[in-house]
Amino acid sequence: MAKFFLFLWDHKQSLIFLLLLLLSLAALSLSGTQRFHLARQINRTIITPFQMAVSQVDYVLRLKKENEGLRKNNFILTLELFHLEEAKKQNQRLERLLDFARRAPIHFIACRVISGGLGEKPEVFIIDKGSLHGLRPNLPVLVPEGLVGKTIEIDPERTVVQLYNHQDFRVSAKPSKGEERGIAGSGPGGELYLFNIPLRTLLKEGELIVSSGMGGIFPKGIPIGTVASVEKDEEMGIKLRARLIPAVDLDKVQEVFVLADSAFVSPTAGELYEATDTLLNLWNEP
Amino acid sequence: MSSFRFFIFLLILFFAHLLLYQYLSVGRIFPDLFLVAVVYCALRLGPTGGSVSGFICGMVQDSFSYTYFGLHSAVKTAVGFAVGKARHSFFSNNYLVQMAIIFAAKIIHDIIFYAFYFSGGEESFWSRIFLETLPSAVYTSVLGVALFIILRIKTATKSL
Repeated sequence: MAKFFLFLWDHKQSLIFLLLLLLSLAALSLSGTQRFHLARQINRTIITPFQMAVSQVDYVLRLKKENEGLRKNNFILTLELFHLEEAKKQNQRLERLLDFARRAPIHFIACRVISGGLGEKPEVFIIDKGSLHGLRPNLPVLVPEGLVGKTIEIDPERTVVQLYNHQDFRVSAKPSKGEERGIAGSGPGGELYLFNIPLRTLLKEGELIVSSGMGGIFPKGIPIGTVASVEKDEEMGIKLRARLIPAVDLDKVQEVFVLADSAFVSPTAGELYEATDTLLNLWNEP
Repeated sequence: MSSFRFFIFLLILFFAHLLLYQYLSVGRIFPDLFLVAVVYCALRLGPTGGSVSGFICGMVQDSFSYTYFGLHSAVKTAVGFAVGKARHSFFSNNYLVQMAIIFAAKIIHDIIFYAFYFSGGEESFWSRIFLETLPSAVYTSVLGVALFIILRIKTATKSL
């Protein structure tokens, strides 16, 4: 017996090998179902935990990647949303301008403001049309809300617009329901005023002030602003002055129309009667 | 290489084969890192280590293929035992020798395996040996020894 065990000990390597080989061959000889169950058992015990761990890591990595992608998409979509909102606003503005241009039986040149308007109280705009598009100095510049200014310097493809709040800007103006004329322009503190109003004039707060058609540049009837307050003009003594709330908020202007029809911009006031009627009709329409 | 680092090396081979098998392929050529583990076990631990590691790795491989369940373990057990028995016959510290041992082990392994697997279909057997086993043997031996060298350089420990 001892000899037998000694023999086994001496050949333990071969015996282990034979035992493992026999086990393998026994596995080979199992029936299909038994093989399947044993293989599944080994797979479930040894492989699955590691595969699950790896799949978890893989899942987290994919999640991270997906998260980065979603963040990027989110950022892009946010930008697109901003862009769409801007486009919507622009669309609304252009619709109003287009409607205005359609209603006007006169020659407007639509221009885009390419400089100014967004800073602190700019006094000039630069627009994207110039002499090549038929612009010249002293043409009225408007938006549907009213007066913006006039053209002063013309390049082939650019034009400088002097805005109503410019120190040198003046326009003959009157109340929309009266005939007493004054001069509208920039006053103390850069605010819009109607100067040189006769003392007898009765001006009410909120009354609309429009261009009077005198002066040879601006046709009659263009809204300039509404009366905010009326006071005695200290410099003129016997005259009144009215502080106006401008009809046009220059900070919001991005597109303008230049009134280029020769009938309205003739230097002689006598030829402006046509403009008077047309523009009054234009702004009076709903 | 210390026992601990050798164990780490085996674990790397084991998990690399188990989890990165698809990523390590070159076209249709797959490395058999289980066999590399079996060979290194046999070279270090002898016939018993070779047999046991061959049996375990083979069983794990077999758990993926129900049809020939036991075939991988039988062949790998045999290869592990054979390499373990023959380990004193060559100077196994040399990387080229290690590469040659893995290469030969892979060839022998696949010949036995496919002999059972195809059993009679001679054409498929030889085409498989020439088109898959030979390139795979080269790839397995190079990759296996490269991994061994990398781990050895990283740990800078004693030789095998």
